[in-house]
Amino acid sequence: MGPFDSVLDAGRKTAESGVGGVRDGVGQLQREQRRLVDELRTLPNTDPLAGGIDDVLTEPDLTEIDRARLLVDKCTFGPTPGLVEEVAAAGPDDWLARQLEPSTIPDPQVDVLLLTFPSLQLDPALRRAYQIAPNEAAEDVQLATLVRAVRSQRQLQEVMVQLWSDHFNTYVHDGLVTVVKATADAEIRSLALGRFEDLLLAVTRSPAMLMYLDNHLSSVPDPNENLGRELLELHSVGVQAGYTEDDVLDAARAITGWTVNQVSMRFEFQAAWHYEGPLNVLGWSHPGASGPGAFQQGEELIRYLASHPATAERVCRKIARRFVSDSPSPELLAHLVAAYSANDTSIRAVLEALFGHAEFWASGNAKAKRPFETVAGALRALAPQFAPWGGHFSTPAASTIRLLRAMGHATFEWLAPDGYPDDGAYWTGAGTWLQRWNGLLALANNQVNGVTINANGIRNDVGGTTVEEFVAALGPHLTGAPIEPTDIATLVGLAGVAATDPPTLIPDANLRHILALVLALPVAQVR
Amino acid sequence: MITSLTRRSFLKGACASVSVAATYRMWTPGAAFADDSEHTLVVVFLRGALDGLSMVVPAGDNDYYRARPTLAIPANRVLDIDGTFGLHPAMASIHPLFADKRLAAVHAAGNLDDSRSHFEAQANMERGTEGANVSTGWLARHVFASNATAVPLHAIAWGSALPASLQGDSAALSLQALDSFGLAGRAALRDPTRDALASLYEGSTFETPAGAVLEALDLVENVAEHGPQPHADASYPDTHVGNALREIARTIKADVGLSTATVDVGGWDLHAGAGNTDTGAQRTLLADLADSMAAFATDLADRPGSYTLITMSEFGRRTEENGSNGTDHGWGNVMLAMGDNLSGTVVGDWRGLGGDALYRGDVPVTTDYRNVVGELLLGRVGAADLSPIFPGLTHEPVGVTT
Repeated sequence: MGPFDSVLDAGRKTAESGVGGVRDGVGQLQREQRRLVDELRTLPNTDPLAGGIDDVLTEPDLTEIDRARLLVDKCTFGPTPGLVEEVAAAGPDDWLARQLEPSTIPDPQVDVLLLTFPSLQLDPALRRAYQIAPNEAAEDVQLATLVRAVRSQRQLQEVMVQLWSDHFNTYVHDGLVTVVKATADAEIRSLALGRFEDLLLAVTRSPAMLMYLDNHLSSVPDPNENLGRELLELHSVGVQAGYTEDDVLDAARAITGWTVNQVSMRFEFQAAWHYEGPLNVLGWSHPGASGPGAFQQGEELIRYLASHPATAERVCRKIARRFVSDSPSPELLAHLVAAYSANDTSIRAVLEALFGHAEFWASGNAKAKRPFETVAGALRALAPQFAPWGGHFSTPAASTIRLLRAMGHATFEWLAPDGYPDDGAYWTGAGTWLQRWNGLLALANNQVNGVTINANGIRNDVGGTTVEEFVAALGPHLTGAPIEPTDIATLVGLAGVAATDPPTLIPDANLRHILALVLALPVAQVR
Repeated sequence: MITSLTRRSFLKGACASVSVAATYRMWTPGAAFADDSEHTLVVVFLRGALDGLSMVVPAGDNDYYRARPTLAIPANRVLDIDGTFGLHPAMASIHPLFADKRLAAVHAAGNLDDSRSHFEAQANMERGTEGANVSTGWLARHVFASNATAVPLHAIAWGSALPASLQGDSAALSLQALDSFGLAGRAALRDPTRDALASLYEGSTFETPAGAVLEALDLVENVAEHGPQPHADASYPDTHVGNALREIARTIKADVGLSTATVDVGGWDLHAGAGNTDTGAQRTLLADLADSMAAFATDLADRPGSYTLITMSEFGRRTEENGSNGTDHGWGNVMLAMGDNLSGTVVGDWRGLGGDALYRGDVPVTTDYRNVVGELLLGRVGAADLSPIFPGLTHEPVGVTT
């Protein structure tokens, strides 16, 4: 063990349609183009799942087990063996109510597993001062996310953390962002079900965001517009709110002087860098301020933006896209926006409104899984042994990151500030399937360092007197759903022995390929 | 129209699939099954907004030096193109291609979206429909219009997923290396696993893309193993864009019917610390891009007329630098075209950088990027008609091919 002993002992701790007007002079041309383009709209939609839940007005008639399966699909990173039955037995509504109060759910497995991630235990100043290798700090926070997705009992919270991590994307390898990313991640986690207003403020003043979007350098007389623009465009109201370039400049001015102390690696306000004149952003105005209290100006703007109707719309659309489908209905959005506005930007209130809406309960399998969900889901289903994973023990860490990277979905590695797309068309192109299948084949074959799948243990747990019975039972065990008879026959064909043989005769390699292909079933790629 | 967009299914009908797969297995160098006159369009998208004023520098313009006190490239360091413009010195490797008429630049080009939003501007540019929100990209429509979809490797995107420009072609492949494009797991179980996946995905919502990738497996593996290697004089940088262009050139030389290839190159959004002539992130990016393009041109020099390469970026950067040695979002920008028999010049309607010439402090877009692409599509790539690709565009050639 290295220098971390004492620390370890100490304990634990997506924009929709195009910008309308390209202004004067081209309006007529545009109208003509639009007409022609309307013809193009008749081309097939590239999202294979689009339009899956048309016109559902009433909640479908679901059994308790159906409701449990839907909740597990939507509000967790996938079923662990027996979870659907557990949720049904506990009562889906009660299970959901508990998930909405994550702080009341004990999470001892995660607490212990994360002890092997030394850099997560350190203050960011120490992370920097001790020059923790950048890869190590990045891998720790990347893998901790996967460990939580796989093992945390607070699944809904982790789903929301992922949503906010995309909404407020910061690229983990961007210079010193690496050493403060874990701090920002913890803050997002603590506010993931809280008020959006608090979340927006916390993220905007987080050193990770300030450095990623260059605001730590932004000062009068020539402010850096990067964060000011994305605060409006990506983090709050969105382009469709119709703000002007002057609004962007004033938003950037409002947060001039919001910087990062390069020793403590914490937020710091440099009053001398702050713009003192009056400000106007989308109906918010301020007469101007100077001195240490001028920090309030930016805070006031952020609180204003959080409550703006355009922000309500964007935030609710993102949540609906995550949980329902890529094209949630206007009725559902209005229902969620009302909850957001009536409850002081409460994210939890939006989720409660969502879970009370028929469209949610009718949205089973309407959403393509992203690769991270496929991998986390496979790890939940296969229940592997984890080697110590932290970056300090970095070989297993690097292997798992590489697996996700090959699938284009390594945590916190999206370069641009808009975050990974949450869009079926993006994740289901031809090339993505090979990456997905290969990820599952590599996991099942123990070809990912640090993850050991006990295939024989799964064979014993699942049981069955014949190969055919065993394969049929793998569906509910690994995916929470039965397998179609024709697919059972296909999978049995991979066993290398007769369908009527006992499952113990399936050679280990064949067994592992069968496990991978059950997890690769098309129905396991949607939720 | 709609049926022509729907790819013939590999999975329907075992006989067809076996014969197709057998054909691809039989592929050998010199026994090409696609016409070797195929012309490949390569689109390099510089994501994050290239600073065109640092790439093709208006070195004769005093306003440029007034606007860029720390970032400007000195006039005595640029590589002269035409007396008005010069190339960033980090791009020396492609500078001779101007004189060879294998390279041309268009200044003040771009798309009409002036939101200054990366994401709006990229989406608009990749749809190619100026503001209208359709689900297909212009490259996919080009692929359909040229009936290129009959072979598995007709369109590739270098990376883990398709860019928006190829959305709509559900058989276009994203890939990250020819050599590792194969099924993982135990080698002995590879073929039965592939066949099982084909059955499991048959009839599912993902049948078309899953079928396309299964269909491509043998061909890609065969090209990777037996296909042409880079020309000895082509020294590609070992970088994302270098590797991508190397593998695209290999695929072009294999004559497998590659119609379209795309590469995304990120990192251009340099709001701070961009650097200038000899240091900084921008210099590194420009050198990498130029060296990769130069190697590609060398690699394919003995196949004249086999490709057209275009670079584009969602918008340019503000003329005035900001206070953190970077530039904020602007509008008009530079596009490059590389191939044989190009103008060898900088074309476009350049109005200088004086106050009156600028639009809100930015270089205005005086050339619609679709006219640049359109001229290349019609004149070189073999498109018969731009209307399915860029609906509503009244095409005006820019002069890049003359």
